[in-house]
Amino acid sequence: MKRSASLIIGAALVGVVVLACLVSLVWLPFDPNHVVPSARLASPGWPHLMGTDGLGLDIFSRVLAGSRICLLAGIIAVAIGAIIGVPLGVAGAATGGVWGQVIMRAADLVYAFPALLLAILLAAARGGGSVATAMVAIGIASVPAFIRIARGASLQVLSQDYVLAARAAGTTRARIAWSHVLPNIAPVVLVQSSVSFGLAILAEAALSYLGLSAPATTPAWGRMLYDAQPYLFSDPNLATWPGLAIAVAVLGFNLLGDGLRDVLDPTLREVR
Amino acid sequence: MAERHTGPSDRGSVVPEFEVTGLSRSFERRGGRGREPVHAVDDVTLTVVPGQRLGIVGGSGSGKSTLVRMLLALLPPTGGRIVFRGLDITGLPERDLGTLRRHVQMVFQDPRSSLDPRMRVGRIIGEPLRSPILKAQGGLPPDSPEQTAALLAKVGLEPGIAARYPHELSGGQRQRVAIARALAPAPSVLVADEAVSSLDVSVRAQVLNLLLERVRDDGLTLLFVSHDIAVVRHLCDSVLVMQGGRAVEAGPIDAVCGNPQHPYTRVLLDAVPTIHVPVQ
Repeated sequence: MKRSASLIIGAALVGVVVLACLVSLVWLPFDPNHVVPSARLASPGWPHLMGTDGLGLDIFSRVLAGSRICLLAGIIAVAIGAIIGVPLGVAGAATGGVWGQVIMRAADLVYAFPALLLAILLAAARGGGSVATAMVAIGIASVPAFIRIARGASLQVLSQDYVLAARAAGTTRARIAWSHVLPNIAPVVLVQSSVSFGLAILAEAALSYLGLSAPATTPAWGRMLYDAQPYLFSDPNLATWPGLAIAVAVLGFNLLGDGLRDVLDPTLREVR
Repeated sequence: MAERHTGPSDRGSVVPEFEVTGLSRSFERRGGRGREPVHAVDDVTLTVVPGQRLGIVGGSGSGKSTLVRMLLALLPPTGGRIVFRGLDITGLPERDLGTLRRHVQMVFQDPRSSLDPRMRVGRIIGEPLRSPILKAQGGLPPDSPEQTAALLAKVGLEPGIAARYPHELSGGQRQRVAIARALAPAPSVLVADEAVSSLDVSVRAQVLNLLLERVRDDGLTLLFVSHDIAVVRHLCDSVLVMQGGRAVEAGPIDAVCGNPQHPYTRVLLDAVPTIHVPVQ
């Protein structure tokens, strides 16, 4: 396996986020929702490593706990995107003709809707934003990228002689898709998953900043940025930590995706 | 085109494996408005009788690969008829091709692309045995480890290779795996499309002899596509010479090679390297 700097750095950054999430599940220095008015706007130090916010909440605890929503958003969004997008992409490539065109035009249509707009629409339809609506919206928005990448990779696989050999051996189309196409496009889908994961984290942060995702009591990095806004000039500390956390997570997953691409297939080109 | 006699005459009464009449395939040229389509195969008529070993020879672009792909119903013809054992298979949907798929198997040119890189050898070889279309035809051996080992032995490979991936094998081993896959459903017709041209010269003869041995021992009908008339002469009893999509000459191999009628056949024969030892 080829060494890839972006793979190593990306995996390390993602590892930090995952570690933060695991730690937050078993231990937090302070209750992230415990309001202590006397301790508000404390500077970084002891016992508040990253200081406190305008309500006296411990920022370090909230940053740690915020990794849960961030990873959950990524997992749900990528799962929705891959589970819907990959079969459609493979089917589009395998059937070709009119149905392939219908699938691709439908993908273009969804592509035209940004995740933000979808989330606002969904929130309006459901009578209020929640973590679930945000994640579903982000997931749907990531479907077209999966359709495109799966279709492109499938077309390439379908042009190989082993698909002809499978047909000559009497293998049905569905079985060719399952046993030849899926295993061979898996690396490409993996790369896209990592890239989509980063995008989903960013989208979730934007949605929670707008108040369309996690409620105020759930620690989320985007929400923390929103809460830090009144103190942006007096106490930039409040915005720095969650901002940094978002940057680390997004950068980590993007680098991981690039690194996987380098390692798995140097000939792959970025689609999005 | 006049009826071509491609097989030895004493086989006239048997039902032919393939009866092909006026077979054509043209491809539209990409982006060229008003340009003529390419006729990859143009009005080819041929008959293949059981036990015949027919070599299909021609240079690159002569349409020989396109021809056999149509025979295997992997590519729809744009004209003509293909009859397999009395059944017209032209334009049949995949589910009705059971008889053809059951009895005709193919070895492709390059085993690097004809073997799925993410499948173990054992599963590759068993692929025809898992096919519902072939199973419906009956008489298929089960896809078992014993069967895989027997097939590997048939092509001179160790049973342990079943657990390997194609990239772990040498070129010659890979082509043997491809041959084992083709032999798996015990077909009666074997089609080899330039089956040795991607191999090293050193292993080429071994794989050729393996093919010949299998064809002789199992009493197979062979369609052997090659650009090399010398190889065809070694393997086959009859030959079809193709040039520019047309069948320019056909007949028993000795007659064609001994007394070529078409100038292109002469070109192919002259291209065969020979060693002249000057008499002292």
